[in-house]
Amino acid sequence: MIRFVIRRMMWTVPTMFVITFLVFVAIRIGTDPVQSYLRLNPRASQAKIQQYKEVNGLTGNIAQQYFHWLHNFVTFNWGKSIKGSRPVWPELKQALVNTIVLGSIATFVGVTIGLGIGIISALRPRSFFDHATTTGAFVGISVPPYVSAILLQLFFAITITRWLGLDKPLLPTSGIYPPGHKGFDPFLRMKHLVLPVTVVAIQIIAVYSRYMRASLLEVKNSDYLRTARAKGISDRRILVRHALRNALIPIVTVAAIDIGAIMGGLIITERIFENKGMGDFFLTAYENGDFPQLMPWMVFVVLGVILANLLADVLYAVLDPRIRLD
Amino acid sequence: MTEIDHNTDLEIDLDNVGSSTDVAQAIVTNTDADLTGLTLGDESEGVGGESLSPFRLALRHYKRNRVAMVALIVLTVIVLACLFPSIPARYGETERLPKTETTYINSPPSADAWFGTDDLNRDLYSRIFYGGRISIMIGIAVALIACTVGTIVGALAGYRGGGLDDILMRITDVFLAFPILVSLLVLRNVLAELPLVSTIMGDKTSVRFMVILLSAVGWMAVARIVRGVVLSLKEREFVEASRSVGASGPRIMFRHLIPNALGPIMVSLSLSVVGAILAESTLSFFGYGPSPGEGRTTWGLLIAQSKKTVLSGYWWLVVFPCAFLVVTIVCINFVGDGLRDAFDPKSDTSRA
Repeated sequence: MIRFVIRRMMWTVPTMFVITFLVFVAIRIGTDPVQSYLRLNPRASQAKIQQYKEVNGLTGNIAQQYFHWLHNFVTFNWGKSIKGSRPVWPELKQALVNTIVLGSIATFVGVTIGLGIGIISALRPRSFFDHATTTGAFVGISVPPYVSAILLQLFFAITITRWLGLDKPLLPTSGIYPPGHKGFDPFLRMKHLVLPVTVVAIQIIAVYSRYMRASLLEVKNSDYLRTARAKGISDRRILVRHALRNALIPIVTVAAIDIGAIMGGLIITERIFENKGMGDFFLTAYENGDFPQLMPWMVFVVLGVILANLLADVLYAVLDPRIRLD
Repeated sequence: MTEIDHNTDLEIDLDNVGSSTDVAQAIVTNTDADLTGLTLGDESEGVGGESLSPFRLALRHYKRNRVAMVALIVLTVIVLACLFPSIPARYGETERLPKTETTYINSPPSADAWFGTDDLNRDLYSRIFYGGRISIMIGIAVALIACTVGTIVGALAGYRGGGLDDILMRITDVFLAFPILVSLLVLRNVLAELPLVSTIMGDKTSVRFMVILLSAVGWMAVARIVRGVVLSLKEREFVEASRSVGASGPRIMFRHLIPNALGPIMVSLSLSVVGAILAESTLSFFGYGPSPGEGRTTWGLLIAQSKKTVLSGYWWLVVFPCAFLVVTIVCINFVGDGLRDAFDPKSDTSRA
């Protein structure tokens, strides 16, 4: 297993190389850093522009520019943003931390509830619970994250406040701390996370409850479960040791593919709730055409997707002893 | 399970022994399927012994699915109302209502303005239909383009294999690795900067640009689905049979492979419509969507504008556009699900 992981890790290097080059070309064509620079510094002199180009490696052909960027990236010389001329890394790091907090809590909540709902409805197919959750999941898939976000904002900031006659909203609808707050406060942080987590988790619950239900129903009709039951194994043990373990195998594969969708949901959610994470970072950088900020962001996203796929493969082997990774 | 079956099939083929039994079996299972279809259907139609085409069979399956039928009816009403917005609308798209006791700037729902008015005293009820026209037309146009391109590319890649297949899979791998919103935004800038493309596609904010942009991303999912179906279909006996009587590649593709993949193609058509409507409204929400002209709107724009007023408590500006968008998407999803069941021979008929 360790050998497999190491081999796969080594493969990420050429993959990253190719993908970052493609992304570099795409962003370089789409958002010309010189133009963004000019837009923000309209009165820059010709000498200033030339200097900016040389400092940021914007001279020569596209391959030369890419290698210049790659060299700087690998040596951790990430440069400064075009707007505000701030170092890229501290802001990116903060965004990464915020996104990991939001993303992992939402994924944990969503996967736990989603799988739970899926298991219950697969155990009692055609029951009221099954019909209600299947329909609910269907609606959940169809509601785009910004719609649920904006409806939740409306509900918590306005409707509930009016009903209960409160003088301030029950739950904060933006930011990660109240304005002007300094330091770390776990309770306040949690309070600010409730609504964004709900929005992201709704999507995850809707998708995973359906997967789990379908997968477990398929496993329930299998011969080996009948055999296990014939041997006299208790229902509980059959469910945990045989049915669930096998039902999870296809879900793990889907989970790795889904990571892009979850990140997409995060981008939208972060923007609406002003949660300063990776999504917000990207949209701001995109608005400003901020090339030095966009490229490292892309690298992290690609890395995240590759690592998620690797994790899925490892989990696959853990769940299914027939699969040997070496 | 399926893999094991596949292996035994291959072995038999290699021995050149069991192919006739295979064909016989295929015929037996086919008649089985027809029989179940007939016995379940109306007696009057079934007795004559005529066999139903897969398409008719699917149609019959679909009609028995009550949820999918309701969804189809609701969807038809919404789509027709949006395609001909002047029929349901009570006021013009850009018409500002006269200031009265019930209709003023940001007035709540009343008898004069059923869904309330916006910040320019325009009737929200009417604007939802006018906005829906552009959203739904973008959805349909993108789905048609994406499905046509995706089907052809996917079928070619699946049937021919080799380099084309590799290229297709690598391109889609790269795109699907990124969140769709990121792919769309990056591609949006690239397409706008490429000199030749931008003259064809027009301005970044035009509806035409949006349709091409969404199609450029949307065909990939369809191509992958069709490729997968064609990969499994091309090993089947009927394709082998038509090849053995000398059918050309294009003939096999268009007469055999694509018609047999029609079920998954129809399902991905419905998914593409949903994807396109959602993508358009998401882009509009962030301010990168189409701007169809002064005072004109789309569902995405309506929701985006409501974002600014949500904290002022103008709930009608939020709830009604969101409701129309969500109901439409729920209905398309239910229709797509119904289609999937209808075209899937394994789906249980007792459910309907």
